[in-house]
Amino acid sequence: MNNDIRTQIRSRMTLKETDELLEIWQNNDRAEWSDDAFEAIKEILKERSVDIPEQNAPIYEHKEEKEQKDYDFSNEELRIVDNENPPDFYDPFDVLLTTKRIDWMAKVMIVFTILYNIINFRTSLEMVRPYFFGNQNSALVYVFTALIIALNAALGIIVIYFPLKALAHILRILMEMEFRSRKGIEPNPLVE
Amino acid sequence: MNEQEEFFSPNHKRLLSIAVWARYLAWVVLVIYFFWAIGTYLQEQNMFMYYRAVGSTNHSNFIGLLKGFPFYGLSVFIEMIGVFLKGIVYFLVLKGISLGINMIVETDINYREQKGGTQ
Repeated sequence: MNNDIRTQIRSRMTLKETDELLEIWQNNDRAEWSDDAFEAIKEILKERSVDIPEQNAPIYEHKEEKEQKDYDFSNEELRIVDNENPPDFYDPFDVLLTTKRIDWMAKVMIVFTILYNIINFRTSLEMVRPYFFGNQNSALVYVFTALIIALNAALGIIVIYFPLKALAHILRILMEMEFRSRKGIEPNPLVE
Repeated sequence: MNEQEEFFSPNHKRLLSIAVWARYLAWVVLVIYFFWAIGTYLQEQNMFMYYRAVGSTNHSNFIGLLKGFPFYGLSVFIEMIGVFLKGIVYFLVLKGISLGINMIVETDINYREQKGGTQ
């Protein structure tokens, strides 16, 4: 069984570039990587005829664990981040952080789109005016311009906000799917 | 060794390669858009210098013009911020794609492991 796990760890490590392996080796992050992973890296580096450098002092605790408190992660999200069997190809904390940033950015883009359209009111007004031959300074010109700006802002928000929100949700769902596919994780859904 | 090589199909390797490219490209895009935002300011400044050369403005420098017409200054600032925000959006999308691909590969590998290795 242990040999099986070592083989799997080694298989995953062989996919990584030599530079990445050297970085992991030197960082010596024991909180993120197991002893078996370091053994595998050492063997792979030897096979690739790479000089094995000195390791830094081992890290047994992630500074990210302290940072996690600063973010508004749910219990289920923290359960994935703190799981004893972390994934090899991505960092769950990075995923959660990225989804939070995407959510935040989606909101920022709403504010920006509205602001941008308001700032460009005069430009839009100059574009609308020629279509009102009779009275170019009537209130109707301003109302029509405001409607066009509102429509433009709404379209801009739809085009940016929804794809970003969708991406954030897709990332969360993919992470939950990955978490549930791990060995020893009960098949209960994380999201009711 | 063969067992290890078979564990990851060419599709896995291709996906992981795309993920790495997307991760690095995200940073490249962010840097490019940062400089593009600065370029937007420089473009406006060049326009000002052209107008000054042909005698269309009385202002001696661009900063003076921005101070004299705060609304114009605000529009230039919003334009710059817009370019940079677009860069941040692309950065996040590319980073999300990279993470998403990695998670898909990880999930597939997990299922393969549970089924006892290669398929």
